[in-house]
Amino acid sequence: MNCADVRSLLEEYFEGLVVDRRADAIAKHLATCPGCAFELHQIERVAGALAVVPQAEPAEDLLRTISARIAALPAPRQGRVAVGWRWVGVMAAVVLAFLTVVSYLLPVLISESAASGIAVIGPVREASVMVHEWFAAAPDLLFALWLALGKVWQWFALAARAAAPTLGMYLIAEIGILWAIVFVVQTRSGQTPARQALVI
Amino acid sequence: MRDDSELIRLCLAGHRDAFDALVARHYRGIYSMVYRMLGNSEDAADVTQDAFVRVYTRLDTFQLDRSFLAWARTIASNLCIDHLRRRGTPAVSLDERLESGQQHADMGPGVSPEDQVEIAEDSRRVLAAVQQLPEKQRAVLVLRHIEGLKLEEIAETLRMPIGTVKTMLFRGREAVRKMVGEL
Repeated sequence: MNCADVRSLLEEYFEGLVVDRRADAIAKHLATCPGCAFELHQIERVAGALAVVPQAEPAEDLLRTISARIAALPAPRQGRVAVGWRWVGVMAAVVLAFLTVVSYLLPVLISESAASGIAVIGPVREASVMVHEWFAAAPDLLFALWLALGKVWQWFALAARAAAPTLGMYLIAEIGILWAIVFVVQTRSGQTPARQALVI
Repeated sequence: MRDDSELIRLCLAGHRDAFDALVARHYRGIYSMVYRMLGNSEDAADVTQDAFVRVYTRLDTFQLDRSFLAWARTIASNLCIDHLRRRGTPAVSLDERLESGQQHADMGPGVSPEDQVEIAEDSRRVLAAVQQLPEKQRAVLVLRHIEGLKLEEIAETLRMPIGTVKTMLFRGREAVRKMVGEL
């Protein structure tokens, strides 16, 4: 590990959240690097000095004052309790990742099914051709809009990260983003397996 | 005892006393955090009141799958940052009560009285230095080292990426070190 690697993990290391080989590697680096060791020392002494700061106690009448101000307000709106928007983010990221993968692979699957004599789903294939041709021929402005959409997707994934119940769900979202970038770049250069299959 | 989500449902159903119970449960913790960020008991009381008023008026937007305390902390932290921006760095760093030997948290049985005095003095110096930091650095240091929040919790509270939280912690501690010197 170099200094940048170690410093990026120093907070977690101080909290004891870095374990196994990474913790050993950091300890080894700290033993030989005065700069990083000094930075850890900074964390320890500031944290140590602030850890003993007592809880500040409010004045006795603060609770009464807050209650009086609340009592003077109209009741909060009694609508439906807000849906967890982060869960919408999780679902959107997963659905978008799924759609990207499908749109990438579907034409290949269709082409293979045609080769094996299985009936081709005409409208789906036509739609796939249209999408691929559109990407290939899209002016730069539309291409930029597509990338902007990718950015929105990334925000969904960030929201997903905050609420994702499992690491797996977050990884699906992140992989979806990477896949989308590869998909768009390759499609514009006409190199996707899908495009090659469709051209045949 | 009813949990926070249940109290919020009751409040949204028209039971105002449920919100009083929520305030009674959390106002000390919120006040303490606000006080550490602002360093002034009068401002801290005002901002704590404003925070609970805002929580109340936006209660219908609260997501029940979240922690109420984390949400209230986010609202209070943002009010603190706004307040500090308006006020600027205070001429007086800390409230007089802190300067006059307020009892510090338990330092454990192995710490001698002399060491306790020294640690408490270091603590006051560092705390005074924290009060001189720019508002976001100050908020990050308070949440991390006084409130004991994890990096992810700070990022969520202040709505900033974890990388930014780490950078602010680094810069904040560096500035504190320059102000305080050797501990």
